[in-house]
Amino acid sequence: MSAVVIKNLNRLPKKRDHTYIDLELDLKINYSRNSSLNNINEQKDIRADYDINAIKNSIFNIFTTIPGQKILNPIFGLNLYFYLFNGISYNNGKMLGETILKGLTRYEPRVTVDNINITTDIENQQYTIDMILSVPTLNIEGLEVKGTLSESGFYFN
Amino acid sequence: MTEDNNTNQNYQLSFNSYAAFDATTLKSLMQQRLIDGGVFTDQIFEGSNFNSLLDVIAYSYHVLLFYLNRTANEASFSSAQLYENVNRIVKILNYNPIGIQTAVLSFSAAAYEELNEGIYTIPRYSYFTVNDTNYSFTEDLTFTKSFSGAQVLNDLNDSGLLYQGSFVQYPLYVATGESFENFTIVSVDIDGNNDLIDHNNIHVYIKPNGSSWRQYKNVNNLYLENSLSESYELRLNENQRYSIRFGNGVTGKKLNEGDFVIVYYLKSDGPNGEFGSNNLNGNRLFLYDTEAYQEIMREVRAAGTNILGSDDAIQLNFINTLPSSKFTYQEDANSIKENAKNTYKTQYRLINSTDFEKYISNNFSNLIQDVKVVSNFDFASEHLNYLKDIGLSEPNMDSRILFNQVNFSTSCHFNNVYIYCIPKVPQNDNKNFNRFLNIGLKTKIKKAIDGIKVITSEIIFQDPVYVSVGLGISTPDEIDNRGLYPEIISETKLKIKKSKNSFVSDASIKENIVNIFKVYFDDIKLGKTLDISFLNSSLFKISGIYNFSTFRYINNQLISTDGLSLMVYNPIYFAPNEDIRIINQTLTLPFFKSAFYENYDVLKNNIIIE
Repeated sequence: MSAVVIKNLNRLPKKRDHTYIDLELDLKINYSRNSSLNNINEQKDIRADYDINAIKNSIFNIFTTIPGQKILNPIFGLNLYFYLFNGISYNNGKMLGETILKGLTRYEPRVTVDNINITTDIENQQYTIDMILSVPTLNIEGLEVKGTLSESGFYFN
Repeated sequence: MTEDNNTNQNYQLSFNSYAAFDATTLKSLMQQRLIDGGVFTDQIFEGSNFNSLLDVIAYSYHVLLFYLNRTANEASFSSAQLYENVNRIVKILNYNPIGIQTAVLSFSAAAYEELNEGIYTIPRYSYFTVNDTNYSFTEDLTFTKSFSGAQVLNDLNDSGLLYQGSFVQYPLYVATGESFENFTIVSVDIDGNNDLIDHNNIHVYIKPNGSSWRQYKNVNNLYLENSLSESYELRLNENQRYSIRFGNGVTGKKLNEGDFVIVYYLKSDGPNGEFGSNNLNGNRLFLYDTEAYQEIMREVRAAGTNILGSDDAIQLNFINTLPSSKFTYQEDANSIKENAKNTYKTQYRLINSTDFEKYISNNFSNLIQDVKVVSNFDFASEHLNYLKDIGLSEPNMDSRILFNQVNFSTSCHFNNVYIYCIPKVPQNDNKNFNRFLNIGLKTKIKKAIDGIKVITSEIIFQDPVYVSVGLGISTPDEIDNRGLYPEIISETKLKIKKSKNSFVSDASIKENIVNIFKVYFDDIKLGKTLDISFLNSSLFKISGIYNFSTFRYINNQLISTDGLSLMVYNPIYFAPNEDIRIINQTLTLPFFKSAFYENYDVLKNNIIIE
């Protein structure tokens, strides 16, 4: 069915409740409004992540993508698993921190990195990554984001 | 997030703009539309989930568009490139692509005195085995032993050819009785590759339920056949396998349920099966023998045929003085496209000389190196006139012309179509150049042409006139008064001035020069242009050559010219100043002539390097 478009009637900008909105994977349904009397009017919507959660999505993707995996941007991503493979050590932890700093500065312009603290856990063969971030557009300062990098992958604590 | 948004339904794209997108531009478009929609924000950040999803969608679209472009291209005749697609497309034009053509061997046969006088027929598919390579007869060949002593079997030599490979009996197929019944020969090696089946040697025998075996004939188009025609269409399909299609009882005889079908095909060894000269000498002829074959042949052959038995076969002696022809690969996609449109244009009818030439060169590519077809007028005004000019009072009495007239001409002497062919079978040496098609090959080609040529045109084969080429230089006085003679070739020398500081040996330079001549003259063609400039520039490209000239001493007086100077003459009808000339530039031979280099040893000996 073709739509009737009246170009002269400019749409008013929508007022959003959130600054950043991203899809939540794995594409789950957020809600479903359905009248049991009238199935035709069922309404569904996809679940989204908002603001700081949207930014966390991005950080997670930056950390877990190996360069070459993203087809249309092959240089995107940080090969953090490299530092696991090379062994858990102070030097490798330092390099891991520098890599994260560079990666976030490059691929996540919404945040500024205040501090990154890498803790080596040789016994469990893992790094604990403790980041202090600021998100100026959301008026957030000193946000602590903690994660663990181990052989099972990266996940937020 | 859910909202009615008419703006999202207005794509603002022209109807064909889909073709302008690739993955990157589509991703940009989707991002822009999401920005315009205003619901999501994070699609612009490379790390976001949405951005990753857009990547996947855009790349999938890109791949699909690639396939769309490829399939759209491959669906049309003009742009298709892949063999499989071209093969399928030309089916609409009723063109059957030509498959591989195996090497062919001519031979000389003689019968020992122990063989009794009589008329014998060598059964089809009989074969020789030499070092695991087989050469087979593809048809029954009849010869006459006319007296009791040892005898050269000229009628066999003139009509017979051996084809590389051995005949294979395909497993019995029982017809289902459907209209246009079709079955495919699947013959593969242990790696699953198709066996090499000779395009011209697939023979189909049918035993109708309750009747005797019949041999069906291969036709180009079943739709031109009547309801009782015992024929089939053979097609090399897109998988490079042969499919055999029978009629429906209206166009071509229909197979009935329970009819037996047996196919024999010649399986070639490809280029590995090519033979050198004298490989056949003294080898024994084996007779093909399977139970089904014996039963079929009993019923297919005319009654009273005296088939050569195994005991008689050992009384025959076969030799091959010439090597086999080269194995020919199947048509590629470009060749199919070229030939399909020509065939469609002519509808398997031979009208003008190009039709004849294309048909012969395509269908006998394993036998024919070059072919020219001319009208009666061209033959009389050029070839006969040439013979008259060089002094033959009755050109028709020239042995080769007379020989062909006797074998092929009818009493009618107008509307003839004259075919000149150079066979592919190579020469042993250039001293006795007699590269002519034998009667057997001529008859084979004539039979194939007879059914599709213009009814009023009579086919007559003619043998090319070969002219001999060698180094040659002369004075005007010699040309005008004393006359040229063939020995000038051995008297003329090629002086090579080597480059300063050249490290190339004299022997290597000589070898390279001879090789250039060999490559140039071994590409033997009718009506060839002898391009001295090309040869000159080729010689200059040889490393170590600074300059060269052709020279000769006449009564101790030196005559010399820069670059090459060649002499061309007719070695058969030689008379001083008749068809003998010196060339320094370019000479285009008439259609009935071809040139060969007389003696490469003399050339090598006459190269002087300073």
